[in-house]
Amino acid sequence: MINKNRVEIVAVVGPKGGVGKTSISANLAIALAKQGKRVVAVDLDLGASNLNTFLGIRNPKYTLDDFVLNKVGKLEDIVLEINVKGGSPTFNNETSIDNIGFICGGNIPGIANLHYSKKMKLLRNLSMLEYDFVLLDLGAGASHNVVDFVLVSQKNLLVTTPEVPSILNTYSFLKTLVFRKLNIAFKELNNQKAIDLLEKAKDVDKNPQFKKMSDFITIIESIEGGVEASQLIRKTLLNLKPTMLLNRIRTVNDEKAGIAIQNLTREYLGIEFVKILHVHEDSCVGNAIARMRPVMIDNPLSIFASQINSIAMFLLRNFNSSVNMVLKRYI
Amino acid sequence: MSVQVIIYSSDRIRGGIVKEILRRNNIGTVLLEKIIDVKSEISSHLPAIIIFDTNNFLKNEVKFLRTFLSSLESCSLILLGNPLITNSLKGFEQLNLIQLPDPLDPDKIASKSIEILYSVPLQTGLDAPLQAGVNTPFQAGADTPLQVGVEDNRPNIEIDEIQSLENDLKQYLKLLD
Ligand SMILES: Nc1ncnc2c1ncn2[C@@H]1O[C@H](COP(=O)(O)OP(=O)(O)OP(=O)(O)O)[C@@H](O)[C@H]1O
Ligand SMILES: [Mg+2]
Repeated sequence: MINKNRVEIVAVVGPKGGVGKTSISANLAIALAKQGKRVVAVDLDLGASNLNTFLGIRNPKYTLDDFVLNKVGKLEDIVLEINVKGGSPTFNNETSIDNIGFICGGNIPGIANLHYSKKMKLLRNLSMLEYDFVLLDLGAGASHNVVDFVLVSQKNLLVTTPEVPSILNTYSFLKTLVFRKLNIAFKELNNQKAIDLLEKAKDVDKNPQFKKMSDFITIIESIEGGVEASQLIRKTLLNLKPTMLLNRIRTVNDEKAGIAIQNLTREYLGIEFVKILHVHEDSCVGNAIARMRPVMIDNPLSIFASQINSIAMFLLRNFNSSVNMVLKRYI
Repeated sequence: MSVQVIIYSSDRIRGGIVKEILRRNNIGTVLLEKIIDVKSEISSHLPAIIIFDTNNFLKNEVKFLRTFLSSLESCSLILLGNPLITNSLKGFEQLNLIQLPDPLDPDKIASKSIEILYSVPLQTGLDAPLQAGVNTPFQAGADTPLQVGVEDNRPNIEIDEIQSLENDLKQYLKLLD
């Protein structure tokens, strides 16, 4: 059963490694909690988890391994309540406003290739967590796992740095995401021709006629059942609503990366970013990690902390949870 | 670096954050903690922007500031803090007044400052023509409470530079015609 509460699942995702997903997840969770929201941060970097270190947790009592190995029944059984009010976080059995929930990542061999049924169980359980915000710290790459976690989220923060490799990865990730969503949608329509064309459109080098999403839509419209399929494409693109988070900005010049990728995704993928958020390079991030403390606690007046607070406010302003249709279909 | 922006804040930390973000964007600033110092600073040179942080403002400070603003020549003012206070500072026609309510958003302060300092129209692409067949969220605006758009567009970024980056990206992605 789907949780009726207004739970907002926010995926913090970035296909390139080391762009700041975990730094942002950890601190954003605290920033949201400080605004009085019930937050749980979930380390879903399967097999390479480290969110606990960003939150200063050395010996987590439970981890995702316990869930995957069926040592507990529900995901909520492994939520640790962490007190984030000043000092280093301490465990606390009672939930208060100064607490965030935390689900520590798993590292048992094979967890990175989670079995389908286990993944479905995890996805279902995520949507049932009784919190205002469920923040997912995802791993790098564009594996099925990562993409599926993004698909069940109501919001996604797409983290990239201004460097070309990271931007390229981000573009490719968005493309993967759209194609996976369209594949699910076409399968539901039972439109095999559309599925075949979608497969072709993946390779723009070989099939340059599909370079732009607008061209793809035109071609889809001309096939049997094409009107319905093309409407579905438009709806899918509209619902995607990614928010770009440009991290580690050093100069004004760096910001052009955000505009460039927005122009590209608009032109070729037909996707519009909800907003481009900026986070600057700030040495306090490294300093806080060295001390195993979240920046929000270690240096709450830093530029990084203040920008994370702004992002929290942005999420709060746009808090409009609805039961995710994709998830509904999965379940 | 010449002074392009005067920052007034009685809160050293908030003022310091604003100063730092502007410095990172290569904007010359001076941070002042007393309004009287602002007065003497502008007597020699009126900057393009004055940022007033009204955090911790007292009632008579608001009064003082109103008198002060009425004597100012045309320039841009960025008012930070509680809208209840910043609203009471409206109504001076010669001033371009921008309110940025708390929480302090350094990013926005920087982007607004850049917008004012280098107000060259920039095509963010948001008003670019729609592509055939693809709706943009603008048309769906009615059913979405989301704020749509690139708020942090930087007018001083050369369009050529963005385009050349875009072309590089297209080349990597094999999207060039
Ligand atoms: N805004 C920033 N300013 C300075 N350093 C930063 C910033 N954001 C992240 N970093 C640094 O970048 C490094 C990588 O950050 P982080 O682990 O959060 O990235 P990640 O995307 O989660 O990586 P992975 O893909 O491995 O999970 C860290 O050492 C962190 O200190
Ligand atoms: Mg990480």
